[in-house]
Formats: sequence, structure tokens, C-alpha cells
Amino acid sequence: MRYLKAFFIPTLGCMLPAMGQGPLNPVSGPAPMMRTLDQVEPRTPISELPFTISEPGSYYVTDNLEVTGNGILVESDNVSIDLNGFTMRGSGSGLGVRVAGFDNVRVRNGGIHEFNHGIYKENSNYGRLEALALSNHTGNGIWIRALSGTCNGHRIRDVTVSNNGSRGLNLEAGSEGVASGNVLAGVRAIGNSFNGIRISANGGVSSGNVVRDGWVQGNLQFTALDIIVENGGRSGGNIIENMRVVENVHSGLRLIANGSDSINTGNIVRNNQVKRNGNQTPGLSVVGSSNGQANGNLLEGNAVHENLSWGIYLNSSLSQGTSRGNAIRNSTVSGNHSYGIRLGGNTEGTRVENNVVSDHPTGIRVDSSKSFVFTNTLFGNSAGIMAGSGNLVAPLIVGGTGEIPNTTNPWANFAP
Amino acid sequence: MKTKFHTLALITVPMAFQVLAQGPLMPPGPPEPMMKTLDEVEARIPIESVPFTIDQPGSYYLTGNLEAAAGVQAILITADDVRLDLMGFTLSGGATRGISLNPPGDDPIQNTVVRNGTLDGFSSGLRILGGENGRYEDLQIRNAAGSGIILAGESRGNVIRGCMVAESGSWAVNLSATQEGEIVTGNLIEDCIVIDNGSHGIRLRAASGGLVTENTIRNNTIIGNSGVSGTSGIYFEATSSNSAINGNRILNNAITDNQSRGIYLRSSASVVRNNEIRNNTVHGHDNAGIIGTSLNAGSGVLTGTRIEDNVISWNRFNGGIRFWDSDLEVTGMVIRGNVLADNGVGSSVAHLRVEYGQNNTIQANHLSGAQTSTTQGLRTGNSSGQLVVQNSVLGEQIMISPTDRYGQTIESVPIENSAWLNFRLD
Repeated sequence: MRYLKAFFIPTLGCMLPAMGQGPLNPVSGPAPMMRTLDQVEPRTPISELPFTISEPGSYYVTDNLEVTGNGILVESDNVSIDLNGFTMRGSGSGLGVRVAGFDNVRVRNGGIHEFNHGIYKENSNYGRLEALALSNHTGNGIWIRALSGTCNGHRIRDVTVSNNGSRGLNLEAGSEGVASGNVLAGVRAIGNSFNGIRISANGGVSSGNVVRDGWVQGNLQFTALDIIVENGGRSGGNIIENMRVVENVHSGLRLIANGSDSINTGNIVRNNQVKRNGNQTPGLSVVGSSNGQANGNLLEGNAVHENLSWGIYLNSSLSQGTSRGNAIRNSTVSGNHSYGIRLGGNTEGTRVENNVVSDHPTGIRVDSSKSFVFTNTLFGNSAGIMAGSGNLVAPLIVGGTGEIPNTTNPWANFAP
Repeated sequence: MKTKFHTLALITVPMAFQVLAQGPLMPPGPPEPMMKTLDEVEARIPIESVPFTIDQPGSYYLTGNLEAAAGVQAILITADDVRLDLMGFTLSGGATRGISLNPPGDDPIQNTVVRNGTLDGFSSGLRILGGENGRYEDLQIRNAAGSGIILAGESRGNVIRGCMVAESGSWAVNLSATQEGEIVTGNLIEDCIVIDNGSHGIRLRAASGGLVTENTIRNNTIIGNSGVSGTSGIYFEATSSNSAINGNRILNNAITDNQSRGIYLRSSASVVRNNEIRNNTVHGHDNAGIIGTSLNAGSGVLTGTRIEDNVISWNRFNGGIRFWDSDLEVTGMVIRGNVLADNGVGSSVAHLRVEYGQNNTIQANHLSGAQTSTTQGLRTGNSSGQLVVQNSVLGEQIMISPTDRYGQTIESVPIENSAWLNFRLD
């Protein structure tokens, strides 16, 4: 028996080299060009929360992380944080990422959920927020807040803010603040308790912001996409384009200047879809109220359909505000439950041109004076155009078939 | 018995293994590597210190924040087909360039990619003295003492996208051809934020035989640039007889709150021709929204440029759109479909004014409001052959030179049966 055991052991020993064989001598020494681990991943890992960043650099998250209170506190300029596809989760309090007073901070590529506010930025400029999902915060998904300083030049791209207890994305210039030159591209704001996206100048300035290529749906209170100026603030030169603003409980998209010396002027609202928004409020509106001025805006190429009240509504009847000199053109407006296009009080100088307005109790109603109504097409409305005196409304050509005579007024509105 | 079975098993099992793993005892070769080497995980070439010269094609990356010594150019690229990833890190320095493309010969450097990081400081952040088909993406360029980005020499077909240029001491983005044979053409500047710089936001400059042509500047935010007198959001500057700025497109930009002018077209003994300015917002400038003048009384020419569908508001001293310089020949321009509101202060200021012009078309613009009640609406003068039609004005005057061609101004219904009318309501 001992003989057999002695036979087995060398046999097994012979077999192992046969399976993992190779020369015992190394082929060559390590190449001098080998990477170190620091070269392969030179960024700084974040493996637990809370985490404070106090040096510039490039950071990345190593796992799904949870915390009670704040998540990442940034206390340096020139910081890049890659969530690396992972999720940061709070417990209903604290801030997911907080940046106060530092510039050029980037956060990207992951989820931030269930804090008080997902990302909170205060008096910070030139930040980038990219490829993020922020949901179920008790407050705002993203809150960028210029209290008395500036929050300028942010780029927020491919971000979803959903089911938050306050606003999806809140960009705010306080009484001495400036929140200008920010770009919101591809932001989806869905199912938030208040506004989906709100840009405000509450005594401060918010100009030259761009909101494009996003989706605002199912938000519960207040205007879904709101550019609002109050308390003597100024906003202007903003571009809102290629947005889908659909099925929100309150009104869809609004420009408003509220209060003395408040200015909201010279904005472009172009190629948006504003559909099926509700609660007896307009789909798309421009409002100057309480001596505010919402003048000189261009609403062009929008599709405004099936909202539960007016389709497009300009109004300044409250306390002598103005909505003057706006232009509404090249839009399709259909199936809204009240007027297709309504120009309320103090809306002088509106140019309404080349729109197709259909399937309303009244297609176009002009309450104020001194507006221009040309070359619109109306059909399926119970009444075509209702306009008071003092407006330049081209004749409405109703019905008819065949070739339009050369003698027809080239400015005519048509109800074929 | 039990012991015998154990013994048999001990013999049989190794034999069975040998049956299963049979084959020649001699190994066929060294073991195949079953795991990746770190070289395979990160095959790119690391840059761990500066200055660094890239003179071979390849893919390079930064391994950390790097700071160049004073007066030392951080990264110099002289080869084609280079891709440089800043990895989210910051390259900082002073008194010279951050990243510079210097062609070793006459031909521009091909296919450069630089992306994903911050350039902080330097005399200029990114300088391209001849580059073709390059891409510069997701760069944050801050605090350059001079320009943030210089695109010069012979530079064609480059894309600058998703970048931010802030707090530069001079022109933020400078497209410049200033020698005979230099041409900056076919470049795209897109989705950039140009903000808080000390001079013009984007400058197109042609001099001494240089050409700046067929570039597209679109979807940018150009805001808060100020510092030197006359700072503009976008500045065209052509300054000699054999140089030109032609065929460039300025599209869909938000141009607001720059110190002086939104878009400034300036020509001296030169031609600014066939450019397109469309779908922009131009808001909140102290001087004017869009303005053209000669440079130092040098008898320049502006011709064939289309200014269409812009919204121009809240610009002050010289109004919304203004071409009024006896040394500037303004011809063949199309100014159409713009909305102008609340521009101008002063009794001689108009929302839209074109003087010393010939054969321009001023059509379907909509004008309203003013910051003072004395501002004029639409005005032409010292001009001939301009077509002024289909414009609408609220509250201000329409003053058209009798030597132009224009439609009747309608101030009440009925609207006449003419396609050429202008409209005014007071």
C-alpha cells in the first residue's frame, strides 16, 4: 500500500506540469514601457460618502453609495466628477452634490436620488452637468441659485429630473444675482410636483439662456416651463426651442414679467410642441402684469394643440403691464378648448401672421388694439377672427373653391 | 477491502486525468496570456509632465493636473492624427500657449482631436496656427491673458464644439487671417459658451490679404463680454483691400449683454460680403444690436449679407439695426423678418436705420417700443434703390428716403390690395 501511494504522488506531480507547462525561465524581463496603476486610472476615487473635494482634479465614484445628509461637497474650482454609472442615494435630507462659490465644476454620468436637493449650486459659474438622472428629492432635482453673485455659463446636457418634491430644474437669479448664459440641452423634466423647468430673475438678471431639445411632461403644479421675472428683474434674449411640453397639469410654457420695472423681452420661442396641458390655463403664454413688460418676443413655428384652455395667450390686463410688439407666426394651433390665439389687454403691436388655426370655439380673438393680423389660415373654428377696432386685420376670405383670383388681397386671412 | 478500493482509486484517478488531458508532453509554447496587461488596458501614451511635444501620431492623455512653468508652452503638437484627452484634468500656466498646433511645414496639421478638460491661464489657451479637420470638444478655457482660442494661419474644416471660453483678457475666440495666403475657412463653432471675456466674444479678422470665409458659428451663447471700449458679441473686422470676410454664417446664437454691440460689421478698404446672420437673439447692449461702420474712414464695403429672423431688443444708444456711415458702402443687403423691440435712446436714433445704402431689401420687419418716446422706428436716407416693404411699426415713425422704392404706409383698415405695403399704428 505504501508502495502504491509512493507511485501516485510522483505520477500526479508529473501530470501538473503537463497541464500548466511552459519553460521555467521567463521569456524576458518586464518591459520598461509598462503602465503603473496610477497611469491606467489617474483619477481620484470616491468610495464613500460624505466626501469633500478641496483640490482641483478629476474624480470618479467606485460604487453605488448611500448616505444620510450631504453627499459630495465641492470646495475647489476646476473639478470633474464622474459618477461612473453609479448611483448616489440619500435619505430625504442634505444635498447630493453641493457647490457654493466655486467655478468650473463638472458632474456627469450617473444617478443622484432621494436627497433634499439633488445638485445645489450657489454663486458658481461655468459648471457642466451631463448624463445624469436626478429623482425623488424632497426639493429640487437641480437648483442653481445666484443669490447676490453669479451663476453664469452652465451647460446642462442630457439630464433627467423626475418626481421631485419641488421643481425639476430651478435656475434662479436673486435680487442682486445674475443667472445668464446657461444652456439646458436635452433636459427631461417629468412628474415633478411644481415646475418642470423654471428660470427666474427675482430682482436680478437672467438673460441669454438657452433651453432646447428637451421634454417637459406630467408636472403637477405651476407652469411646466416658466421664464419668470419679478420684483424689477430683467430677462431677455433667451432661446427656447425644440422642446416638447406635453400633458402637464397646469399651463405649458410661459414668459412673464410681473411687477414694476420687471422686463422680459426679446426672447425666441421656436419650434416647440405644446400639447394637452391643462387646468384652464394657456398652452403657451406671454404675460406682463403689475407694470411688468413682456415685449418684443418672437413665437414662431410652434405646434400648440389640444390644451385645456387657450392655445396661445398674450395678456397684460392686470395692473397695467404690457405685452407689446410680440410676433406670433408660422405656428399651427389646433383643438385647444378655448381660443386658438387670444391677445388680451395691453397687447398692442402684436403681429400675428402665417399661422394655421383650427378647431376652436374662436380661432383668433384680439381684445386690445393696434395689432396686425395677416395671412393666417383658419378652419374648423366656430368663429374665425374676433377683433376690436383699431387693429389692422386683413380681410377674412371665407369659403370658395378653385383658383384664388389675382385681385384677392395678398394680406388676406383665409377660412377655406 | 476498504483500503484496496482507496488504493485503486488513487491509481485510477490520476490515470483518468491523464486520459482527459492527453497529448504530447512537450508544451506547444509559452503559456498564452489569459489576462490583459496594463499596457493593453490603457494603450494610450500618458503625459505626466509639461512641456511636452507631440511629434508622432497617436493617442495621448493627461495623468493629472499639470502646470507649466512661467513662459513655457505646455503642449506643442506638430504631427498629424493626434488625439489628446485631458481626462477632466486642468492644464495651467502663464505667459505662453496652453496647447499649440504649429505645422512644421507649409501644410496644416491634420485630424487633431483635443477634448475633455480645462485650460486655465496662459497667454492663449488653444492656438491653432494651421489645422485641418480637427475637433476640439468639451474644453473649458479660462483666464487666458489674450485670446482663449486662436484659429489662424491656414485652418480649414475644424470643429470647435461644446467648449466654454471665459474670462480671457482679450478676444475670446479669434478667427484670424492676416497675411497673404492665409485662409480660415469651413470651420464650425457650435454649442459653445463665450462669456465674461475682456474683449469681443468671437472675432473674425481678415487683413493684409487674408481670407475668413465660409465658417459657421451656431447655437452658441455669447454673453457678458466687456472690458475695452467697443466690445462686441461677434466682431467682423476686414481692414485691407485684398482681404475679405465672406460667406460666414451666424446662426441661432444668444448674444446678450456684451458691453457695446451685439454684432459689429466693420470694413475698411475691404469687403465683407455674403454673410448670413439669422435666428439670433441680440439683447442688452449699450451701443447697438447689429451695426456696420467703416474702420478709420477707410471706405469699406458691406454687401450681400442677409440679416433675417433675428430678435433684437433692449439695445440702447444706436438702436437695433444701424448702417449709417458715409464711408461705408452698403449694398445688396437683405434685412428681413426681424423683430425689434425697445431699442434706442435719443431723438435721432431709430430701431432700424440704413443710410448710404443702395439696392438693399428691408422687408417684413416688426418694430415696436422704445426706451424713450422720441426714438424713431424705421428710417432710410442718402440712399437709392432700396426696397422697403411689408414692415410693421408700433408707435414710432417710418421715414423712407424718396429715392428708395417702398410701399404705402397703412395706418387703418381697410388694408389696400397691394403686396408692398408697410404698416404703422400709433
